[in-house]
Amino acid sequence: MTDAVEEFFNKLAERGYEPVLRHNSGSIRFDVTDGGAVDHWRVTIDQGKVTVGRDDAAADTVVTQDRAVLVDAIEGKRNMMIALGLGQVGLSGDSERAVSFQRLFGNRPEMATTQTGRR
Amino acid sequence: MAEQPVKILDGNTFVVSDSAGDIEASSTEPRGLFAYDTRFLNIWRLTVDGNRLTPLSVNDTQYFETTFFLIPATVTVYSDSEVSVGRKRTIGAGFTEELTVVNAADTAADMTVRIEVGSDFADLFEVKDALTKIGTYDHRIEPNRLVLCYQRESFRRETSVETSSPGDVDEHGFTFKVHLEPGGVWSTRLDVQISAPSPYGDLVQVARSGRSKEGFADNLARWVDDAPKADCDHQDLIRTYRRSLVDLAALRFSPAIAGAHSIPAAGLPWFMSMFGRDSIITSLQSLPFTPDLAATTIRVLGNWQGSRLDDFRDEDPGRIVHELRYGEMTVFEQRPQSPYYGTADATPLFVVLLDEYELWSGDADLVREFEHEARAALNWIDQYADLMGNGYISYRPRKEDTGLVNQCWKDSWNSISARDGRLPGFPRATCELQGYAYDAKLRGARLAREFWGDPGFADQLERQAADLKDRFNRDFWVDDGQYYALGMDCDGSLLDALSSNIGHLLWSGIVPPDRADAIVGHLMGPELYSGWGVRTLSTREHRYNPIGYHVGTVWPFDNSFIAWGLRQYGYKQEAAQLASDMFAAAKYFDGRLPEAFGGYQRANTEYPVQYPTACSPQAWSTGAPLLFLRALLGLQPSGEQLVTDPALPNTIGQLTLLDIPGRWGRVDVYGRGKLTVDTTHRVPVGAAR
Repeated sequence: MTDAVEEFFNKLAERGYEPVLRHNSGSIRFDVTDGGAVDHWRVTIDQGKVTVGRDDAAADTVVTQDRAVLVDAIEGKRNMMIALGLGQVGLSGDSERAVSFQRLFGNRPEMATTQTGRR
Repeated sequence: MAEQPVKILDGNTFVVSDSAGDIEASSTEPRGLFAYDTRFLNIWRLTVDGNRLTPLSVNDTQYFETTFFLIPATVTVYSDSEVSVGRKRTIGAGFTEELTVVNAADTAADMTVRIEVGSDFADLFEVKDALTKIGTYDHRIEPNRLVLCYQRESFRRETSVETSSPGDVDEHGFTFKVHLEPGGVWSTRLDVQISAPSPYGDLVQVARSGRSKEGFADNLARWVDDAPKADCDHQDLIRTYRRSLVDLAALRFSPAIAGAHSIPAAGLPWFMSMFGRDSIITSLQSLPFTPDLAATTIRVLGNWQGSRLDDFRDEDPGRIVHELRYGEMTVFEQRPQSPYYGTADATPLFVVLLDEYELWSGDADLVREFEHEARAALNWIDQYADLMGNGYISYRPRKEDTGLVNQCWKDSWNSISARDGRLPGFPRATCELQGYAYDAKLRGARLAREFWGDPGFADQLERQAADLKDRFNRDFWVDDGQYYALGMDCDGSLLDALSSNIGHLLWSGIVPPDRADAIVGHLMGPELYSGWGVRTLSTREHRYNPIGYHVGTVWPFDNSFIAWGLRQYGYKQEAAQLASDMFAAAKYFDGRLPEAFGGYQRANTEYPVQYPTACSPQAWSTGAPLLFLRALLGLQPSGEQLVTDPALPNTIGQLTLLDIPGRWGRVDVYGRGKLTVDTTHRVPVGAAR
């Protein structure tokens, strides 16, 4: 069974390019804790071109959190700035890359019913 | 007159104390040690033998450091003090205070020195709005160290105070038994550290990790050195110019988790945070002087650009951020600033800034690098901002209890109204937003054609701009008044108040030349012009109030853009009058223009009345003198050259600006004040309230 984290990173790897990451060249690693286990998702970025690996090699930015926190963030239910302020996320290295990266996460769920205007 | 508080700051960390160096904040008093929108100290009080101290002098010439010279309060003019106390305070991740006691007597002295310490860990919003706390307080006592703590669920904040000299520590502070021989000196270093601990480390350390290690003094000296040098007969103008440069340095701010980039924060004390609009406006004003601010503002705001739909935060794809906060109320989603995107002007102005920056700097790489963000911003104008479906930018808060009701620069609840005082419904559209959209489309077209290799998109943007200009001039024009309405209501009716917003329309270029005389006539006429500058709202309007925040006061930043607009349409005399009056006003504030001052007629008050709770320094007021100088000297990039066309008022005399940076390298400009301006502003009785 694939969970939201795996699906998110798999889709990112399939797309292979993200314009919002174009200012970035380097790497960001997500360390995802779940019980006693730690999963690693390591994204290498070259001016927007992305590749995704599962190793725990060194990265310029490391983001550490429980799986539930990352799933909520990916699904737009949890804001990463808030999770950081609450001490639910660890961040080390180049924090600017983390700001860029969280822009890939989803819409806040209630949105679909409340849009107006010419959208 | 109330005592002026003493402030030192470093980005979003700042200390506000009284002139003895003490902090005694009530729940609503904006004094204390603040960082990341949290008050980490609200009590910091020094006594000697139980007595408070009296300030002899304060040296606060550096924005990051202050020294207080004190004597015991019991000393009178008839008795010299034999004990004196110095407190040298330097800001950092918290602050350090070097406390020194000197005994000048012929005999030894014994005394008890006490520092009272307390923290309420108030969110800045709680201080501003007098709200109460939900979490719990605690403390730890360690050798020579006191740690104050606050906890609410997993949200934890701590203030640690450590002394270098041994002393008794209790939960409310430090006590030192001091024995001084004749001529003896005792000192200690108090180190105040703030932290936001979590299982993953300290957030404060993360936030500060990208910061430059360069010393404050070196950095400030380099900053002032890099800026153009001004030389002028008018010494007050020089003072204002230097004050602006130093304040701008102080207001530079590295948003936490945004790396080492510095952008202008909005203002002290309430707004030492990232504000899209304020950063853009200040960067535009300061482009001829400190162009690096514009580049970093583009980078940071581009990186935080909206990417998703979020009602609570009023976020849309492509929308530029309004405000970012880190305090408890934001973290617990009682407030939406994490970040909040409810601004309708920052997005078109982002494109305007990108283009203006390239015109000055020739930095084509940045324009190419931010093509995606600029296109997303241009797309936002048509795709997400046209809430009425009529081709105009309009706004409404998607959550009315937490969002901003007015998402233009005049963001108070009553700022947008009709002549008869009627407040509009939602969505609503203000006029200057349409000017910004027009300008953004034309500038976007230039970028698309010259840098993005997309002439088709450029043509499309130019057609849209031409169409917008036609429609706007048909739909927003108040025919019986010969001006543009302040806004349009949700039902399409006009909000027909006469306001300073029409001056921004000149700057944006959406005003046809044959209407410019009428607009300038209003701007310089008795209903809008106070004698110090253009009022936010005309005296004839129902909601006019000379000390109403956006309904009658005069805002220096607003006027600086009006002056720029006046020059663009060839109104040199009027621009010179406006700049001359503003520089005259600055004299009354030690060269530092406040955020706003009263709209009272100059002939009636003789001096400008500062708006009561205005921020000072405030970024775009700090930037205003710079933009006035640009307007007076007629500075405009043209290809690889800087075109200059000085038109100075006779109140200024000679003005030389040396080493203006840009794609031309560095150039000098010289001008002489030849235009005769009115310095009396006597108006017929009854011409204005």
